[in-house]
Amino acid sequence: MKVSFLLSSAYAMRGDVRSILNLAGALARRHEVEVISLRRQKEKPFFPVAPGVTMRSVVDVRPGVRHLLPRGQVRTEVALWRVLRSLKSDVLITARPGLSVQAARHAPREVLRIAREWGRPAVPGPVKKFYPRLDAVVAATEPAREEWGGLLDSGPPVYAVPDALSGSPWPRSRMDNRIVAAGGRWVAARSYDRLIRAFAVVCASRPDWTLRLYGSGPEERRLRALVGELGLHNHVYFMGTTPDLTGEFAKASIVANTSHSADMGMTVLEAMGCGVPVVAFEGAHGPAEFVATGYNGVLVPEADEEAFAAALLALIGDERRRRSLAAGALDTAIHHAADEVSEQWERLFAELR
Amino acid sequence: MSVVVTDAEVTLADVLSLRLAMKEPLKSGTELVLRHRTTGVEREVTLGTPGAVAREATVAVSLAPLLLTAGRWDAYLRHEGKRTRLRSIDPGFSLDHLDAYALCKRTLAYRSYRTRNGYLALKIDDAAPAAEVRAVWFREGRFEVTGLLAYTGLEDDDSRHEAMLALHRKQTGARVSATATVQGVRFHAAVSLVDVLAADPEASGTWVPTLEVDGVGEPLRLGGWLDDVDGKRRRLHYPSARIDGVPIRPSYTADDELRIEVGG
Repeated sequence: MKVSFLLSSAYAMRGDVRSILNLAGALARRHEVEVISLRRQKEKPFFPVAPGVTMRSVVDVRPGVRHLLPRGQVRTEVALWRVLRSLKSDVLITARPGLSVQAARHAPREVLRIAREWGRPAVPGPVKKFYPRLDAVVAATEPAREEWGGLLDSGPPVYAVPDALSGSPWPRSRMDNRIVAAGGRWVAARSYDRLIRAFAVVCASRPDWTLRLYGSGPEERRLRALVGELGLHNHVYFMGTTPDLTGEFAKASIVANTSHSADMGMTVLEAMGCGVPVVAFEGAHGPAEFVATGYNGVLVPEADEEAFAAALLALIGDERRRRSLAAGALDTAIHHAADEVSEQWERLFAELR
Repeated sequence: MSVVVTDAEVTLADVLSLRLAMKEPLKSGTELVLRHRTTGVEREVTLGTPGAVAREATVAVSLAPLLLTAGRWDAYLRHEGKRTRLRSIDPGFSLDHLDAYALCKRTLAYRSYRTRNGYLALKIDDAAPAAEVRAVWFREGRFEVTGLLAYTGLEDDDSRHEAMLALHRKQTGARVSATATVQGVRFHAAVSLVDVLAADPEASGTWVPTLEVDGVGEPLRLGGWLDDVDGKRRRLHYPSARIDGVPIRPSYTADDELRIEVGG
């Protein structure tokens, strides 16, 4: 079977890209798999790609690449239309509502067209109009499945298949370094400022612990200024981006996530794969869907830093609890193993064909 | 040969201790090969194999007799000419263990670690006595630094040692010094920033701090080496202080040595 994935860019550092590449790698062991990027900005993808996966792009926007036609929205749309019309695959999985709408409009009918969804769509109009032409919508979590089911009452069937973790052996934390880690893009929606403020409270009583922030993004300047203002320059490390976030999480004893918006929580899953408990805010989306207080992490009910700091301190002070949560985290991650998730997808393909 | 390292550590006696999990037992005559990443020099050790069929094995390899040189060494298993790189799921070190490892006097410091692609490797550095910086502040017009002494051979007890923090400027030969406290292997030192400015009022530039400790031969460089965080210049930004309108800021060099930058 030939499976094609269509992403806006497989070269970017995003959780959805990571999840799709993991799944593609697992499917590539038994099928022909290609990952199509709408735009290619870089020479190499940020995350490792399994050897059997073919990469191609619709529009090459790498610096220095010459084009016959001027770049722009129309050209991209025409190029995407051409790729979709001539697609010779058995399954097409699109990972963005905008791309799924284009797939519904232009991809050949004999191709099994599936939309992969995480949060709710920003613009529901076109989704409601064109999604009924798709064969299925696959949400990442059960609450997302219910939400999409409500949105598409006349539309295609909606399923839930979890995100896949990497297929290679996951690194395992020894839980002996006094490190709190956090990873992901440094954007306002992740509210790292709240994490830093909460860590200031932690530091006041446990100065032997450090906070490591992995990633990069537009918030860096503001966050560095905040660290200076709070006098945390000895305790907060801006580690930068790494293609091996799991390996870095495995050096930590706690992973913190202060995200408040619809966040797919791939870093939370990766932390659990390393056997590290997660502290996160309770909310409708993202981390709250995987984290269960007392089983694999701690969910902080109110959205304030004091409570978050208290949760971190409680976990820092109780090593036994930390280790028992770590075992629960590993247990949770097993359901996201690439092999198991790819088998779920294969069953879904068989059911839909 | 599917083998995964589940636990790796270089012990205080420079023995590489590994725990291996494998699908099929190790065949007799299997060698552990260490290969220098840049020069390609190889060192091999034949692993003893147990008589029983086992899916787990522990391996202890003494590193000093292998005459390894500084750099990064990748680990492989070789059997009848066929070589497989050793996968690892263990980070390979813990930060507290690195502190304990640095208590002894050493010429080479070995550390096992997991590469970004998930393989076992060894990092070997030339180890000279040094002062490992743990925290830096500007408080009450003074530059303060604390940390611990590495590879000096001093005991980690409560005994006090006479010590002096000195700041040098290479270009002008200016020097400022202040008494430092060394208790066991922990040190704390503070130097007045007004003195630093007064010692060289004209020039702006970089000052090199060193710690002179009684009983330790030469002055110790200050920096951050006893962890896995390379490139501290980028990752740790220290705040600056303004004395008489002149900005002063501690920072790290490319080799993670501490410097104090005076002026814009």
